[in-house]
Amino acid sequence: MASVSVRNVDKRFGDVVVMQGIDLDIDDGEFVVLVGASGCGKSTLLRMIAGLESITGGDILIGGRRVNDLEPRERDIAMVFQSYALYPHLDVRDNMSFSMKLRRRTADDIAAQIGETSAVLNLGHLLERFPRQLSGGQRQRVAMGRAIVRDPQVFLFDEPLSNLDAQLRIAMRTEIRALHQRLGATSIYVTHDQVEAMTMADRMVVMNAGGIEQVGAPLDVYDRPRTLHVARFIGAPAINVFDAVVDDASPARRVVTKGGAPIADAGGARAGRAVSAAVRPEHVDIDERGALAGTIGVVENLGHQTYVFVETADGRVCLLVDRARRPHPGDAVRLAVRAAHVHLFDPATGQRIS
Amino acid sequence: MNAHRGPRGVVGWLNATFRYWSLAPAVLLFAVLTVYPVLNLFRMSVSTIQFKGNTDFWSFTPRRNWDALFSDPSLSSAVSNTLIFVAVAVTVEMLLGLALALLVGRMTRGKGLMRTLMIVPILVPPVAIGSMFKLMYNHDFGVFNQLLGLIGLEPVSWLGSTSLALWSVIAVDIWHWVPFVFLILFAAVEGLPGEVLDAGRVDGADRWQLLRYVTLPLLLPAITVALLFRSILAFKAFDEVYLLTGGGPGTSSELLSLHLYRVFFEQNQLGYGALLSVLTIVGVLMLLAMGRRLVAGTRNG
Repeated sequence: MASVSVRNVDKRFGDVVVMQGIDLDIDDGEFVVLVGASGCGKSTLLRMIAGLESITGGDILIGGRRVNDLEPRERDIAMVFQSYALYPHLDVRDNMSFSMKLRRRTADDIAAQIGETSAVLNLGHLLERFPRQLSGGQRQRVAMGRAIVRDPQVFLFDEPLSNLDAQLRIAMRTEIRALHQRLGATSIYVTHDQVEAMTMADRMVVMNAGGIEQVGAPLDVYDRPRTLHVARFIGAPAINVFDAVVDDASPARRVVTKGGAPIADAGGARAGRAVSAAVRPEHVDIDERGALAGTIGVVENLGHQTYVFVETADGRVCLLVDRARRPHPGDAVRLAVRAAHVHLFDPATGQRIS
Repeated sequence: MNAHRGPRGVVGWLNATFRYWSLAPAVLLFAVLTVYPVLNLFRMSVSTIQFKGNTDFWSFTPRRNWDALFSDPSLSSAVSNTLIFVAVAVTVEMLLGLALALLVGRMTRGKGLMRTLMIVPILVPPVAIGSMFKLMYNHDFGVFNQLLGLIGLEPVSWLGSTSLALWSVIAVDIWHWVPFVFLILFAAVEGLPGEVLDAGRVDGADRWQLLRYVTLPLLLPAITVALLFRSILAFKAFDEVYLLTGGGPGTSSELLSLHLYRVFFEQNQLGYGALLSVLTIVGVLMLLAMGRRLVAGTRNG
């Protein structure tokens, strides 16, 4: 078990700068999720920590040891891949024991380790099968088993659940978390799925365009996104964003949408400036005294909650409503935004305005 | 039950058997062009055939052909030359082709160029290859001896010496066919699953272990195909040796296929030639079966 530090790391392919000045500290035993849209550099960062991808500048430390120039096999890490990457010519037992054989562990030792791990992952009956004879979920478990038998300093996961169907994905999500609680090993987990990031992470790292946008506990990031991009990426359905200006004319300086609805206090924001005002669906209510007028478009009933999409002069607004309200498409409604929960961002830079 | 059946009568029968009838042209072609000649070859192998005027006379003489087999003075050298030729040429071609495929697979640019270049030797007609190398091997003005001269060495009789002629032919075969092996294996190398190789590196394999325990097993199907093709084609090699040495000096570079040609067309022993052909086919089949078993063994082991 070990901490992982990424210090001022750059990645360039020729003249193309893919990543610049990446800094990240991961504590011993922590479960950190790197999340972002495809192409944001999260997998590249993971592969650089693994040693599968070289770094052009900076340092990577595992357990305080600088590993920049070490081969993957010398870094004492285990990795689970999106495609599972099982050895197709080896059966499950040999897939799991491959790393131990390379390390010249004794046959008894290997058998004991395989027995223990396959019991934990419920793989005992599959040991003689080849990868092609397994279902996707089973392959996934074998890939996990292959990582666990290594007893590594750090576990790296590269979108390990992306190829599973939705139900299995949710089940495995819980299982991986439970496994982490059992083993307590430092884990870095890459995903594009913000739900996975929210549910699994001790801390999540939101990445965008080769840089880190925000690092924090899932709820902190959700409640206080540092950039407009983070606000949009985290949370489903997505946060509502209004083009707005800080209006000086009103007695208390207010943030007024382009459609003319005052929705929040401006706080310290300079009068007259344009802002992006963002508010989550659960912070918008149907209220006859509300500032926004609109018509209900689509109603999504999820059973335990209902989302309503209202067409307004400021575009489509999503809100979470009590199902007892029985909203109907076509109904005219007014919406009230809870001013305390409005996040203001600079429309040009996307940065939060305090 | 009957309700599910198609229409009855002739139409029904035609419908039911249509797929078999649609195979008929192909079967007919195969029978006329392959099955009949092979059967005829077997018949020839137990016959003596003589020509008088415009007619051929067949007589059933199995013993005579077998006797010819055991009294054939150059047969044993043809067999051993062929075995050396196949073993050495195919082994070197496989190793070089594999090494090249792995090396080019690591290149970041120029892969397409390599692939195009490698097709060239396969495109050149064998006759041109034979003539080209005959010139290059020439004792007095060939490029190889000129190069030797540059570094102060005596010229070598590449094709005229009994100890060297076969090896000179093997060298040409290697030049000719390494690209073929390369192209098959390179396609396989390009198709290797990157994440599986990554997993091997993370699991602790060094470069050599990765090749031995992951890459080669993954390439095994392609290696088998290339090996199979090359072995079969090497057993049938004819043009290179015919053009370069004509089997000489003496019989020092005479391969089985060239020997067969001699028996058939120079000595006019059609029956014995047919017997030799049949035995060659049986021999090659046995070697291939052994090879398959060997490959299957390594796969399971």
